[in-house]
This record gives sequence, C-alpha cells and structure tokens, in this order.
Amino acid sequence: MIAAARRGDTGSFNRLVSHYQDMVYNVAYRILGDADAAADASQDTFLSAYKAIANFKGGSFKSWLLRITTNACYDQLRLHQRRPTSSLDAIYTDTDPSSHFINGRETPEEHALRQELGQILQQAIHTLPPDQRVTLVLSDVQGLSYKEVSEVTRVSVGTVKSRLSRARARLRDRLMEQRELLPARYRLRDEG
Amino acid sequence: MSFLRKKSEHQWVEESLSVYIDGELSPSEKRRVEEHLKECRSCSESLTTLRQTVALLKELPVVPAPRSFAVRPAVVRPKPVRTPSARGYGLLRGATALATLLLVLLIGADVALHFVGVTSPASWAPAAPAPEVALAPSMEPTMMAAPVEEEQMLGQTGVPEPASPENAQESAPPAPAPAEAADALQEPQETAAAPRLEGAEPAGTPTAPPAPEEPPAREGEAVGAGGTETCTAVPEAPVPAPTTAKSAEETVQPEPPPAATPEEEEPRMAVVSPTETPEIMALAEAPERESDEARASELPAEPLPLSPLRLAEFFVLGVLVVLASATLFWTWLRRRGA
Repeated sequence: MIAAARRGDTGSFNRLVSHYQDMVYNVAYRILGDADAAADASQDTFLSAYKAIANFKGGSFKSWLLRITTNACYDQLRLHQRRPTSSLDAIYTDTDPSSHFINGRETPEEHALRQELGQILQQAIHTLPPDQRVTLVLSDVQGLSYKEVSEVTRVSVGTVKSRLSRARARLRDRLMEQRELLPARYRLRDEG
Repeated sequence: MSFLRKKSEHQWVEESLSVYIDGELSPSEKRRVEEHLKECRSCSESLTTLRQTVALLKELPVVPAPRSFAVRPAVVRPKPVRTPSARGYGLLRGATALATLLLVLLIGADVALHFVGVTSPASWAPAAPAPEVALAPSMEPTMMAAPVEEEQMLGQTGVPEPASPENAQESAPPAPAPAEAADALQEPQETAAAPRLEGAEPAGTPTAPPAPEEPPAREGEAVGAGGTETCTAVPEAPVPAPTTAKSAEETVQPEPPPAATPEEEEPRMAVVSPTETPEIMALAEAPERESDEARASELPAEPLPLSPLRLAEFFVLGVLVVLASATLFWTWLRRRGA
C-alpha cells in the first residue's frame, strides 16, 4: 500500500488513511484537547502526508505519520495562541468525544466514570508544556517506546526520558491536587 | 558528606522512577533504585502514584475520528494548478498597472513638453515641416509651373525673360510641387531631386546647359562661396530680377506668387538645377503672407504630424486597453470559478 501510495495511487493512500486516522486523530485530540482543532490537524496531516509521501524513504510509516501529526499539532497550538478568543480552555467544559464511543463491555455507569476521568486527565495534560505533552501522549497514551518517541520528536532518547519523567511527575502532582474530583476507583493512593 | 550523598541519591532515584516503571534502566541502575526504595518511603510513595498515573493514562479511551480524512484528488491537485494561474493573474495585473503608470508618465511628459513648447515653439518647428515636404510631390504640377519655367529661362540665358507658355508646359509636368517656401527649405535634397530628374529630360532640350551642373544640388547655397560660373552672374541678375521674374511668372501662370526674389535666389537656381529651383524660388519669392495662405490651405488636408512621444502614448494606450480587458476577463472568470 505504501509503495503504491508513493507512486501516486490515491486509493492506496486512502486505505492507509482509513487504517491510521483514528490513531492520528486520537493523538491530535490528546495534544490539543479540542475536537475541531484535532480534526483540522488530522486533515492537515493527511494532506501533508499525501504531498510528501514520494519523499518517504522507508522506515516506520507510523513514526513518519506521527511526526507529521505532531508538527500539525504544533501549528494548531501556534494558531490558537494567536487567537486567544478561541482558547482551547473553553472546550474542557464540553463532554469528551469519546463519550460517544461506548465500549460494549462497560456499563453506562462505568462509561460515565471514564468520561469524567477523561475530562480531568485532559485538563491535567493541557497544563503541561507542549514538548512534555507531546512526549507524554506519544508514550503513555499512544504507547510508543522511547526510541519511537525519539524518532517522532527528533530528540535524543535521553531527552525523551527526562521530558517524560517531568511530565509524569507534574501530571501526578496535578491529579493528587484534584484527587477528590476523580472517581473513587481512579483516585491516586500513595500508600503502597 | 553522607547526608549530601543520600540527598543526591534520592534525587537521582526520584528522577529515574519514570524510566524504572518502563523497565528501561540498566540492571545495575535497577538494583540501585530498588535498594534505595527499600530505605526511602517518600520514593516508594512516589513510585506508587506514578504507576497509578501511567495506568490512568492508559485507561483513557481512544477517541475515534469523527469523520473520514480520506484525501480527495480534487482537494489536493488543484493547488499546483492554481499556483501558476494565480502567478499569471498577478503578472497580468502588474503589467496592467505598469502600463497605466507608463501612460500617465508619457502624458505627463507630453503636457510638460507642450508647455515648454509654448515658451519656445522653435524647438518643435523644424520637425513639423518635414512630413509636409515629403508629401509635396503629390501636389498639382501646375503649382510648379511658374518656378520651373522661370528656372529654365534662367538656366538658358542667365537673364530673366518672359517665358513662353510652351516652355512652361514642357517643364511643368515633371516638376514636383514644393509650394511652401519654408517646407522647401527643409526638404532633403534626395527627395526633391529624384522626381525632378525624370522631369528634367523632357525639358532637357531647352534647358540643356544647366543639366550637367545639377549634381551638387543642395550645394547651390555653397556655390556662391565656391565661385562657379553662375556665381559670377549673380551681381547681374539681382536688381532687375524682381520685375522680370514677376512678369514671366504672370505670363505663365494666372496666379503667380509675388516675385519677391532676393538677390541670392536667382543665381542659386541657375546654378543648382532645374529641378531644385522651384523650391528655392518658392522659398525665396513667396512672401510670408503667401506661405501662410498655402499652409492654411494645405495643413487641414494633411495628417497632423505625430511626435514620437505621441506615438508612444498611442502605443501604450493600445497595450493598456488589451491588458485591462484581459485582466477584467480573468477576474470575471476567477469570480465565476470561485
């Protein structure tokens, strides 16, 4: 599919899109915290990827696509910084888009709890600096290894480790402060 | 010292807990952390909460894409197509603006020169008569009859005599018509000489002697200084010339120019050639009043001479009209397409 897409086959490229679009949108949403901004970033990601796929020199297509995604997210963050009226803070009062996604195995009550957890976590993530936020999302939300995060963000593995360590500690402190807001089953307990 | 070493060890372990959770520490680093965790309650609690935080992050549900982000060729491909189009449109607009600016500058220069010309009309005077002279050969030959005939007489005898109508008619047809005195002065030698040489042949029999002296036609003016044969005749002619020449012209042509023949004109005509004499005669004889009348009667018929500046204005105006039309049409097309 990738080879065909590199030759300009739009159908093959769109099959790649349908395979990766949830991942791209999810990463963009967790970095940006805004459904519309995440959709814009995702669209920009795939358009940029379509234009640049001829220059794709092999390796991990996933890492290559996530690098484009994080760059699109940085662009969106800069765009929103220039437009303070449409601050991303406003969207945290909205329900999480994942609320429409009901896992068939969880009860409505569990789903509500997860939705509440998602909102609080998203607010906590948004307090992080962009570099730490991107590293945290790629590693702990998306599940990439240090090396993969290093490839996506184009920094050393040591930098990834330190950024992730600081991001987790900061997020932990934030969640500890808001411990009472978390659902009981998700509350942090410091006793071993 | 041991306290400081403990504190630095605590900091190092605290910073390494994240990597420890991920199992990315080396075996020696892992042992070091685990040994510290046995002694440090704070680090143990920190490790617990960090693990819970990472676990919570992994609990976050995947947010599905709200729509398909499939790429449509119609969305992607127009860009490279529009880029040159937009560049061409910009170039066209720029060219239109440039042509407008150029036209304004030319008109400004024209107006400025016009005002300058009012103060010193002489600057434009030499340029204007030239086209009129060039058009002179198309004029009626009857206009030329008198000068040519008179010139022939002068060429033959060197003394003005009443000319016979036959001579006048013989020499009249080939002669071009330099009617205006001022124009005749400006006329280049070649333009005037060419048609007259043709006409000189029929008149050649009566005016045979002057013909060989023809070549340095324009030098006739300098001939006076050069001192040719005819120059010697100069002093003889001048005084009686006015009356005799006038009478000769009157006999030949019903409407002769007033015979205001300056002293130099007759010798010049005699020296130069029968072809050039009509112009010089007309130049010399025609008083200002008559030349004004001739101009008044001829100027309206002739197209006004255009200066290069005016020509440039018309050219730029034409280009501007084309460019502006193309720009408007393109703009309309773009709006329609949008």
